[in-house]
Amino acid sequence: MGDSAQLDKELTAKPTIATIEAQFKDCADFVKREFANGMSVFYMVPLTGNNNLHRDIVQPFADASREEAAGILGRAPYHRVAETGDCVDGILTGSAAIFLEDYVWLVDLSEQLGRSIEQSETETVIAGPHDGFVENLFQNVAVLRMRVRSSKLKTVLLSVGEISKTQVMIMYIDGVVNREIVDNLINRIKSIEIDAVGEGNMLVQLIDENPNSVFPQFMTTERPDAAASKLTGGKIIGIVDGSPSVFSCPTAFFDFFASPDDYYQRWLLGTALRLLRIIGFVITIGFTAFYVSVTTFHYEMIPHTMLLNLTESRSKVPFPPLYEALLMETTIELLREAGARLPTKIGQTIGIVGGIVIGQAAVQAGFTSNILIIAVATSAIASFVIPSYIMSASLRLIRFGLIILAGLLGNLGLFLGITLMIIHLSGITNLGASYLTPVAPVNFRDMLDTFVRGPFWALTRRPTISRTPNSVRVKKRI
Amino acid sequence: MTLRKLSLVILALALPLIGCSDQRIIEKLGFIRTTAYELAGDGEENQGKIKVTVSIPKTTQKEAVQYSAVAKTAREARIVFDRQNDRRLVNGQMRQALFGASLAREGVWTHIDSLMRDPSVGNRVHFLVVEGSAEELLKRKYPQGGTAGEYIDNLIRVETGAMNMPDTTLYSFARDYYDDGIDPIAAIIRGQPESIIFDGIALFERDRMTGKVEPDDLPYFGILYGKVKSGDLFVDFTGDDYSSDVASMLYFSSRRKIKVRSLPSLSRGTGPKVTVKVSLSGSLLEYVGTVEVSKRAEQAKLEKEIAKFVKLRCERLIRRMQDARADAIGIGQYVRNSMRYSDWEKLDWAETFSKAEIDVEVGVRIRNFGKRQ
Repeated sequence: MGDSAQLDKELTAKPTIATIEAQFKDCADFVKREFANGMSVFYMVPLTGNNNLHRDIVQPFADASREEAAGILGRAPYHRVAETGDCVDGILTGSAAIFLEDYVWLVDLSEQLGRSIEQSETETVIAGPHDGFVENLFQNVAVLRMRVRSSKLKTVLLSVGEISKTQVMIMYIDGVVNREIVDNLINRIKSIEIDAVGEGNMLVQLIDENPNSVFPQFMTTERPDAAASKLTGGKIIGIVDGSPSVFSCPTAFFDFFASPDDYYQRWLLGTALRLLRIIGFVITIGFTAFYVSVTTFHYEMIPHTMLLNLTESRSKVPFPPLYEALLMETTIELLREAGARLPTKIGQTIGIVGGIVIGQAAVQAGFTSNILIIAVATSAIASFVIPSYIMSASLRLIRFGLIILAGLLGNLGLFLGITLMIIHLSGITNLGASYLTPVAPVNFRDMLDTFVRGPFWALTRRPTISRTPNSVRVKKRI
Repeated sequence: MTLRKLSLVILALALPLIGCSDQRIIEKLGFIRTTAYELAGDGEENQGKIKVTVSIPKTTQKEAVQYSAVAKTAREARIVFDRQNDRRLVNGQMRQALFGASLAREGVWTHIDSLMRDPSVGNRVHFLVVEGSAEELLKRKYPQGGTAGEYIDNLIRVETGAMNMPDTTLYSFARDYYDDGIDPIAAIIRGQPESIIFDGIALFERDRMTGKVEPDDLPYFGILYGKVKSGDLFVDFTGDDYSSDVASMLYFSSRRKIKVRSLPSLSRGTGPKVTVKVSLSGSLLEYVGTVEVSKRAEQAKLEKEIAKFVKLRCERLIRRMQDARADAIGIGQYVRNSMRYSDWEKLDWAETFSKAEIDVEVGVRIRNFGKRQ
C-alpha cells in the first residue's frame, strides 16, 4: 500500500529516469537504451514497431551530438511531457520516452496489432457492406469516420478499469444528438468502478439501468454500417478498445429485430422480413410452450385429425409433455452450445449427430413425439432469425420459463408468463428512454420503421427515442 | 425485502400448489366424436329413459370404439361408459350429436341444454336427426372409409355447402329455439346398407320435431330460408301448363324479401297475410323444350314458366310447414317486427302461423345459358 501510494504521488511529479525505472521494475519487455550523446530512451518492446524505432530513434540520434539531438527533439513528432504519469501512459501506449538532460520527450512508435478488417461472424448480410468492426479502437473509429465524413462527428475518449485502463470512445453527431443523454452516458461510464473491462457487451452491463433483467438493454453490433446509421439517427455510439462489439444507445426492444440489410432491400421486402422476425420472436418464445399447454390441458384446441396422430405418437412416450419438452429443449440447447464451442471443422458432426440421431432416433425409440421435435426445431430455427445474438439468447431463456408455466397452468400459465414479460419489458428504461418505444409510449411515425420498414419517402424523421433536437431527416419532403 | 420482492416470492412458492387436477394429457383421453340419443324402446323398465351411444375413434382413424347404455340422461350413461373405457372420456372433440327421429318427436331440449352447459362442448357441434337406429348407423362399416363419425362430418359439410343450407349446429338450434319468431331445423340422415344419406330437413315446433322437408324440396327450402349464393335447381315441368320439359339452373343466386301485408288479429282470430318475394338469377345450363333460349324475348317466356313452377313448389312447401306448425323460415320475425310487442306476446305464434295466408312471388332472370352462346 505504502509503495503504491508513493508511486501515485510520483505520477504528478517531473519524470526522472529513476522514477520511470521504478515504475517499470520487473517488466522484462521494458527496454532502456543509452546513446553516446547522453540520451536515454525507454520503451516497451512488444508495443513498438521495429521500423518506427529505426526511423524515429536509431537513425536520427545514433550519430548525433548532444546539440544536434536537442535540435531534432525540438521538432515534430517529438513532444515534451512534464509529468511522470503522462510519461508512463505514453510508454504503455507504445511511445518511447526520451530523456535528455532534464527534459523528457515522447515519440509515438506504436504499431497496430490485431487482425485486419473482415466480415463479422455473428452478423452477416447477403447484400451490403462486408466489413466488420475489429478489436482495435482507432481502426474502428476510422471505419466510422470513413462512413460519416463530418466534422460534426464528435468523439470523447474515456478510460475504464483501474488496472486495464481500457479506452472507451463515445461518438455522436453534434446538433443531432441530445446532449443531456451524452452527458448522462459519459457520467455513467466515468463512475464505473471495476478493475478491468474487456468487451463492449461487458461494459454496457455495468451501465444499464436494470442489471437483473434478462433482456440486453444496449444494442451492440459488429457492423459499421449499422453503427453509422445509428449515429445519423441521433443515437450515441460507444466503442470499447479490444472489442468488436460497438454499442449504441438509447436502445429500444424492437431495435434488436432490425438488420441493416432491411434498408438495402426494396421496402416491401424489408417490411416482410421485419414481420417475419416478429413472427419468429413469437414462435421462439411460445411454440413449444403452446405444444405443452395444448397437449396437457387443451385437447379441444387440436384439429381432430391431427389429434389422433398426436395421440398415437404421444402414447409411446413415458413422460408427461412438460418433461418431454424440457428434455428436448435442453438437448437442443446442448447441441447449440456444443456447436458454438467446437471448431468449425468438427462442428459439422454436431449437425449430423443432432439431426439424425436425436431427431430420428429419439422418436423411434419412443423418447419424444415427432410433433414435439417439430415444435422444438421450429422454435430453435426461429430464434436464429433474430439478428442480435444476445437478444436471441435471452429469448431462449424466457422460453424455458414459459414452458414450465404452460406445463403447470396451460394457456393460463402461458399468458400469465407473457403478461409478466410485457410488464417487465415496459418497466425497462435505457438512458431514460422507454424500452418498448414506439409501442409504449405509442408513436405511429416510429412504427413505420419498427414493425415495418417504411419506404424512404415516408422515413422523414429521426426516431423519437433519441430525443433529438433536430428531428427532421429529410427537409424537402416534409 | 421490499413488498414487491416478497409478493414475487409468495407467488413463486404458490406455483406448485396450483394443482394439476384438471390436467388432460391427450394420450390418456378418449375423445368422443359422436354422441347419439335415442328412445330406449318399449318396456316398463325403459320408461323415461334414453339410449345413449358414443363413438370414440381409435388413433388408427379407421376404427372406433362404441359404447351404448340405457340411462336417464347422457351424463348418467357416461358414468357407465367410463367404467368400461381405459381412457378418460372427454367431450371436447365432439363433432356430432345425433338424435333418433322418434326421440326428436318427443322433444330434445333437455339434452341439448345439458350439452350446451358443458364448457368443453363447442357451439359448432352438428345437430342431426337420424331416421332409423343411430346405434346401428354408427356401428356399420362404410366403404367410404374412416369411421362413421368422420363420414357424417364430411357428408354434412359438403351437403350443406352445396345446398347453401346453414350447418345445423347446437348453436343454430339454440339460437332459433330461443328466438320466438323462428323455429329450429336440423339435417336428417338415414343409414343405408352401404352409405349414409342426407335425407332432408327436420322441422321443429319449439323442440319437438313435427315435420320434414323432403330432399327434392331442399333447393326451395334454401330459397325461402335466406340468401343463396350458388345453388342448383332442377326444374321438371309436368303437365300441359308448361311449354318446356326440363330446365336446369346452375350457380343460381337468390334473395328473398318478406312483406307483411296485414297483421294477425286476436279478436277476429285471423292470421297474418304475408308475401315472400323471391328473386332468382342463374345460368341455364340444361334445357329441353320448345323455347329458343338464345333469344332474349323467348327467354322471358321461360323465365315466367320457371317462376311459376318455383312459386308452386315454394307455396306447397310453406303449406307443409304450416301443417307442421313449424316456422322454419322465420316469417314470425317479420310479423313481430311490424306489430306492437305486447300484441306479439299475446299471440300463439305456432297457431297463428298455421293459419297465416302466405303467398310467394318469384322473379327469375336467366343470366346466361352456358358456354355455347
